Amino acid sequence: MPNHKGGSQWLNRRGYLSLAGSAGIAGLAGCLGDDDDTNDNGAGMALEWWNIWTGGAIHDVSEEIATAFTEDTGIEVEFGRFGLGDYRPQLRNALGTDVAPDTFFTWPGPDRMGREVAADQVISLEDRFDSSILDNISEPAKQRVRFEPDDQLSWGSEDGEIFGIPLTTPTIQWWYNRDVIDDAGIEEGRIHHAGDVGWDEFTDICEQIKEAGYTPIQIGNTAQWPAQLPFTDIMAKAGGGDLLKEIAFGEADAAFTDDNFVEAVSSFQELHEEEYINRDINALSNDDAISIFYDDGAAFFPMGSWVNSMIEGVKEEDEPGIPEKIDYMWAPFFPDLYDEGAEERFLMADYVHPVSQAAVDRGHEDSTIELVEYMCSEGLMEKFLEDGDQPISRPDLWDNVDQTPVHETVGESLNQAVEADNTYDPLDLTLLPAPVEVMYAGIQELFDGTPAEEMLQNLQDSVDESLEEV
Amino acid sequence: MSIHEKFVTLVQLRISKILTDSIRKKLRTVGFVGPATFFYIAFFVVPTVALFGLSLFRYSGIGEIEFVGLQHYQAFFGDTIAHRAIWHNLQIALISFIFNFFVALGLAFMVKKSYDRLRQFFQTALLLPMAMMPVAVAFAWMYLYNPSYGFFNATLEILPYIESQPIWLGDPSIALYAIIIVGIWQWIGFNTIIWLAGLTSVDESLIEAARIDGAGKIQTVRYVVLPQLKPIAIFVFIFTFIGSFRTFEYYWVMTRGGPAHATEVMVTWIYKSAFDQSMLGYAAMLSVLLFFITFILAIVNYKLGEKTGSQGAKL
Amino acid sequence: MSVDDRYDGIKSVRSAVKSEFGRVGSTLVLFLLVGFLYFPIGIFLISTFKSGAEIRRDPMSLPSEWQYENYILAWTEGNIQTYFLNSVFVVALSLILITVIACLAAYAFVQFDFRAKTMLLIFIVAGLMIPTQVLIVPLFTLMNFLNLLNTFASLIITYVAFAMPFSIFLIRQFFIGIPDSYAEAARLDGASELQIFYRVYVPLSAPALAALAIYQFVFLWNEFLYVITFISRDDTRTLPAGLLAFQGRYTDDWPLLFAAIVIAVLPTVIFIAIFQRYFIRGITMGMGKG
Repeated sequence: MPNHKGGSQWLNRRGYLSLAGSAGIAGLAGCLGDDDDTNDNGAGMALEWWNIWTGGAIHDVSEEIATAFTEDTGIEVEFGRFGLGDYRPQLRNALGTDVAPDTFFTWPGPDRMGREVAADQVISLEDRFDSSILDNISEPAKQRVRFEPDDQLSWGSEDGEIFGIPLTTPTIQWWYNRDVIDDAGIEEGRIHHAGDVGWDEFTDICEQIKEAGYTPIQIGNTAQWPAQLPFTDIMAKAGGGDLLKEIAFGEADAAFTDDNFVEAVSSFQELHEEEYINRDINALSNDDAISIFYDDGAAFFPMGSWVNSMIEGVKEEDEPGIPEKIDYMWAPFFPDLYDEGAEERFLMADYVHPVSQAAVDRGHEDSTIELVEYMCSEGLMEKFLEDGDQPISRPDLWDNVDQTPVHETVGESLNQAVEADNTYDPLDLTLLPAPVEVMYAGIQELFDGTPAEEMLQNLQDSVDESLEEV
Repeated sequence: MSIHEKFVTLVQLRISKILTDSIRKKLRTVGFVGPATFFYIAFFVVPTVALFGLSLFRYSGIGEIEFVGLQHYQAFFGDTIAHRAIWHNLQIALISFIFNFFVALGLAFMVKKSYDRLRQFFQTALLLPMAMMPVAVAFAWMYLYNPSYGFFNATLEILPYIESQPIWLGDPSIALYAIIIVGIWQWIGFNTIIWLAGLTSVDESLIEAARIDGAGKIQTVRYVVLPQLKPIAIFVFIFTFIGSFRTFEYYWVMTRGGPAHATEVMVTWIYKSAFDQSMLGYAAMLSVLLFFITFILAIVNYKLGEKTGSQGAKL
Repeated sequence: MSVDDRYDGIKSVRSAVKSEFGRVGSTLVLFLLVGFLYFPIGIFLISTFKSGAEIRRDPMSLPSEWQYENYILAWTEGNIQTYFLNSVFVVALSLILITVIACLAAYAFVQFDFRAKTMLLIFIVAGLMIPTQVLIVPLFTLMNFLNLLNTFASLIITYVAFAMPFSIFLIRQFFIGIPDSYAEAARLDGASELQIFYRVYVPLSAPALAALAIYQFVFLWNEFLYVITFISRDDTRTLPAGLLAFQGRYTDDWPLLFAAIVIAVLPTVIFIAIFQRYFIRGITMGMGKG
């Protein structure tokens, strides 16, 4: 090795080193600094509101709410936005950290809000929220956000506290394309808003549609939740919504492997085998599916009452929508398996907004509650209905809005559900986290020929396993 | 300046001179090596050690952290999805290997044989796909694979005699292969270029010598060209295998591991376990396994390299 | 001219014909392959100028009306501008840090004598054995602990750390090849170590540094896993995660996504096209060849 000389160069070297070092650190500090401006978590700073990034009216209305809120209160609101597919992992990532949002869009149920309740990531709004607003929120909406503190499985408990405010209460039904139905020679009056179409009758209708050259049922299941909606229908119609929940929570003598479920799921699978459901269900996106359905490629499209915003995305402005061209029936039921199925309706709470523990920690509690209250206030809820066509969770406000035909249709489905003997929720909101994944994968397997028994057995195993861990 | 002050200064200078020589050298070394060592240890070594530790705990990212020992490793034996993921990674590796190794080598011979003026063009054309962002490539192929308006199905519809309309990404029996094709599409050109770089550095005089000795064309390739390509072969082997076990982007963007886990790979399953299921400890265990798999591959690589060394000496 | 000579002449003509035949054949096959590789890109590029409805209804046709504004819309409304500039910032700063830090270390490993030098070198190069993907969980926990989630710093620090083993290994390999006599001559002229480093070693290894920078540029520009894990805010997202968010937002708007994809892919493609020679040299050097 060479022999190093010291002397006067030492200063140079040291000068350089400190320069290099400080340049590097300044660079890093620089980008830390950059973020501190936009990512300030201190009290009095902007509220962080996370939302899914859907196109169209709902999104615009959320922005308007934020803008109006800032104008009224002087409190800044920052939006965090995600595509639907990435929202849950990203939210879950963030919730335990200091970048957790103050309020955010979430869903009810043990797998969604339940996890956040169990981990103390969201706070009870009981006694904190403006009671005059809370009183006006519909009972089915409130029932779906009640939990007992720290208990994931106390979802919907009578003694529970409210942990978030659902802005909407969508129903889920089987939308049909009137042009296709007419063209296939099916009498629309029979299915129009009907809940008593039996399974055999329905498969006859499908056969008729198929012979007329259309796909009877269009589903785009790449995101895994769309096919889960009719799957939930089939399960509920085979045993009742209450039973589903009891099995999911380990409170029933019954199991998902019981004969009635196996038979119902086999019937569901047959729809695909008979090509009543589009063959490419596992490869088609939900957006492609709605576009095929609206463009007269298919007769039925099982989806929530938010479907109107999807239709808005694919139709031209002057083209007909709900109800001129698109209307709904309820899922067919199995008279032989579960007679009361005809009287049960698919209903859920959606757009739930809790207040996070992080908001409390950073001194945002009051302003965040104010923001959520603001979302539920008269003017904004009406806007949500008027511009976003969403089935808002405040029944007292429906009549304040000039009802368009879309609102009337959505409103009637909501009334039908609320007045029904019983309602049931989507299974991916009812099950625990691990069984949800098993169910998602299992439904995709069904369309690849896995027997219904096997699929349901896997599901039940996963339910049992996850209940042990809770 | 007083005498006293002068004296103090002189003493200080003297001491500092004695000290500086050795300290200076040390400081200088720290100055040169320090930043690299700091980043490497703090953000590479520490996480690696933490990974092994974390795999022994149950941790959801928030709240309590509970020591569970080897429980996660035991749970792996019952995790059929993880087994499938490893099997998928292996299939990806083997199929990609056939293309990156044999097909690319053949293509490299062809590029070498083609016209001088065209060689540069082919090189550029072959190299560009690998520069493209995998996420973007995945989206593009997703569109091409779309069952109702994608390029492939639209072409099949036009072609006579072909009735089949494969559902590329939705059919569990073909989805994995459909995505493997994307990887091959992106990387085969790169591997060809690597082989080509090896071919151009083959010692021409040895080939000449072999020819004079009466070796046939195939014999020359077999006994003279190929041995010289061994370092490249090892590179392609390790690059393909380790790359195949690290793959993530295509699978996350195009199918998210679906349908029904038919395209689940190790990294998607790790990501899902960690951030979808909030099982950070379990995900850490899977990561440790992935680490060992690539470690074994690296050892294989090293062993192969050792052999080359001795053979190279013989030549 | 003997018979043998004539025979050899015929043979060489024949082999020349044969080799010309092989040459034409090879070229044809290669053209076919390049066509196969680029056909999807062509189809795709054309689609970027269509409207969404047209993509759905006539996937195979040329656009009835060329919609150049897809690109402008993606750039402005789709936030691609922000993602792009974020990517530029993160990648540029990472590249500078990687190159400077790795070069300094490599120089020390070649020119200085210090305790545990070999051990430290082996320790650092051993990092090549660890696939970076496996560190996602501990690094996420660490960044959370350091309050660095959602910052550019989280990405830059990670990228710099990940780049160390390969970069130091590669640069050291090159530095070793520079004769010691250069450094000694410079020292006799009174140059400091730092001066030797940036007046002698850095200029002499410019091609290697360029190769390294290009390799890292492509890798960092395209890096996806750590971006989606560390970054959840839209204004801090870099391009790969931005594309994913973009797709989530404009799910039914293929042309906008396509335009965004082209914008995202262009920088690395242009770079590789221009600097491919350095790139190939760097790769072969990394294999211990060339």
